[in-house]
Amino acid sequence: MTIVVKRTGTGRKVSVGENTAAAMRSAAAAETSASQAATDASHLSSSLAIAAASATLAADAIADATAPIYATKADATADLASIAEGDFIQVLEDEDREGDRILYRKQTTLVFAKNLSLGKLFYLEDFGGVADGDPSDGSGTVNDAAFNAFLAAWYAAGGGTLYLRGCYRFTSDFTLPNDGSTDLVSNQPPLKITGNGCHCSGQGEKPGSGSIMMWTAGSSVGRIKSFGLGTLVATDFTIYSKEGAVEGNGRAAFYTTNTTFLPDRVAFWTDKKDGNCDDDFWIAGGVGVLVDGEMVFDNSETSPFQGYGSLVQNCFFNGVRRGLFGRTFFNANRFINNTFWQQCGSNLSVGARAPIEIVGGATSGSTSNSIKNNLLEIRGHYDYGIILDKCNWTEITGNDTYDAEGQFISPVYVKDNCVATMIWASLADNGGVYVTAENDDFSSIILITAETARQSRFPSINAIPSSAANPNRFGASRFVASGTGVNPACLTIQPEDGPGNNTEVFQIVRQADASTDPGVQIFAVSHRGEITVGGDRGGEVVHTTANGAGYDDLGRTWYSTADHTIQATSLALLDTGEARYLNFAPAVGGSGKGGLQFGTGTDATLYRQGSGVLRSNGKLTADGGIGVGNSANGTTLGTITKKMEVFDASGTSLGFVPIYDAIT
Amino acid sequence: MFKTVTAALEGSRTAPLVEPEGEIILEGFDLTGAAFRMEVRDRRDGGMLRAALDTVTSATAEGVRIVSVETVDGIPITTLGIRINETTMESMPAAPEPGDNNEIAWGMHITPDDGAKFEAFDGPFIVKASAVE
Repeated sequence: MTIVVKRTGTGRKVSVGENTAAAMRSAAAAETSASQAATDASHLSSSLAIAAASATLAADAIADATAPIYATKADATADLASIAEGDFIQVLEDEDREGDRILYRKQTTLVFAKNLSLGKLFYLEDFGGVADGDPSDGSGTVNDAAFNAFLAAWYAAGGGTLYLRGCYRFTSDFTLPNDGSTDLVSNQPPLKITGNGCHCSGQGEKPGSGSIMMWTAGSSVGRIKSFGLGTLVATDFTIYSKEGAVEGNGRAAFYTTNTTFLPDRVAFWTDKKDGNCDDDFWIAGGVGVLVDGEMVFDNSETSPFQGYGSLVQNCFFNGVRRGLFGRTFFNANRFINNTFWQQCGSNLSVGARAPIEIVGGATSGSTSNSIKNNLLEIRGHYDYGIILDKCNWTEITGNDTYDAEGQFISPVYVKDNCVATMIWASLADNGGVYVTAENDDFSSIILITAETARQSRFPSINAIPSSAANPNRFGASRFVASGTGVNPACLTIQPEDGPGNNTEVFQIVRQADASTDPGVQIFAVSHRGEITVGGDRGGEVVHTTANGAGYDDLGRTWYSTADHTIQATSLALLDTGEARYLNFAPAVGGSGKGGLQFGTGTDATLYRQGSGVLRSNGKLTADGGIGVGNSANGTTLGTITKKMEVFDASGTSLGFVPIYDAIT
Repeated sequence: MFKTVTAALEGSRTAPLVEPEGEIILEGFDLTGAAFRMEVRDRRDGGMLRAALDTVTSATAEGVRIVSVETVDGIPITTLGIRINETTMESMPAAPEPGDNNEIAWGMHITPDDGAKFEAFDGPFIVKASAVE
């Protein structure tokens, strides 16, 4: 573009225009006579003539920063004599167009040229602001009045963008104006706050460049509060609290209720760290107040959240307590790709500390929110990465939780009033637990990790607290085998190296409220293959038919701990070419101490009497005769000393066989 | 010479900034023999230096040159030409939003042949986004 500087008289600058020569020539060709335009364009000394014929074009071409500024049109009129004919001036508070910034041109009188507010781009400098803040010591011009003046102008203009040129210091908090409607909630125009860039540092250096809103004091729940229906966009700047390194003055950078909040590439820093952090980045929604059983929606801080569709992304936090604190009716929002750096922490009580927390309202849970791909550097000053309380259908995906000190409990804490929490966990870098469920209730949680997705292996899932009374549990799931790959089994359980032989690889525990043996292990397999069964019918194995319609007596075999019997139609030791024995362990025999019992009670038994002696308490008959292996020759009978009764095959006595004291 | 002029300069990120965009016409001033120093920075007061232009005499050299000094109707008119090479423009900082222009700052000192240096220009420097590279 051509810049034209002209001097008249004693050298006073009479006009400074910015325009392209081509545009001026075009304007001249279109709106002035051809000859006059040619003369004006070629000499550039008669631009007044061009501008007079093309006031609109000239007004468009003049930068808002170049024309002298007057507070009101009356002020400019009073100073009319000092304004050169044809020059432009700006009026900030035009009585005819309240809230707009108007460009006038002097043509004997001040003639309207352009409404500069139509572009709706605002600078705090236009309202007396000064970007001279020093983030290193918190010094600088206080811009509270300028920001409030901007808010008034922004609201009057029906919305717009505030461009932050540098570092601005503030000492009070601000509330965006709205129409104050009492019809449910108020409305407000869209606001975008943007700047040259936000401050991120992987080494923790404090903000020092880019655009910065620096607070050195303030007293409300939020530095920027927005209660009306509308959108609040924030991009490319840093909010920096220089209000001290010790907790006690913390409040949210943004506190919204009904406004849809859309920050992107915004950084929030404080001088606090670790357990002193008490500043939240975004408090979304009030606690919600019920009157006569009905939730109250109004223009107050307690009004529940209605800014559905909010999206927080690519933001950077350090020295911050919570990046998100969603409350009543916090529904359908996204919190993605944000970074909590190492000096973040929480001053809340142990067990309630997390950088992301959503607490649904008393009458309804917070539903359908997504928390994705955030980096949570938590260094032991949080208990969890995410706390969900009264939340439904929450999707938690790919959040990296890094705890260099290994002190936090788990990345996600799901309270048992939540419904259908879907968790894809990519990393739990504390060596263990991926998710904690209040009261060990995992029934509404679906957990998939990178490992499970890759290998169909579930990592350890610990119930907290984990104890003998509350053993580790896992909710009902179904496993489907791919049928291919290294291990096509439906479910493979392989613990990491370390457990001993007797450690259980797999166990099943009876339900906690069972009428008998509640919470007792009823099945377990140890590392060396030992199978343990328990319960009041432990060990009972029931064979059913193939279609599961019922058991078949012919196939029924079961062992009962009640009477220590094996019941079966037949037991067979199949001949596979190797010796098969039934081994009855007791070394010393006797009834009931090892052997075979036939019939009821002890009417027919066969058992070990002693070393090399087999005995029956009843009669032993043999249809085919009795054979012995120690017979020898003899011819001379000695004296009869005993008799032995013998029986037929039915057990009926046949008489007696004499026993001699010797036979030679 | 004259009070600091606040004016914007625009240039495409993907092309050199030359005349006519890089043209300054000063009516009523004869700057024959003057020296020029122009800088483009991320911001005023210490922003990162993005372009540093000194006095040159060739239209193909990066810098500030006097294109002409002529007298029209008895009024001297000095025309300055600014050239910022394409590689320099390509290294300008990225815009906050993809596809947006980026506004940084520029200024120029002029040291007249027979006078003291003064700040002649100060204003926004608009790096325009481009659909071509």
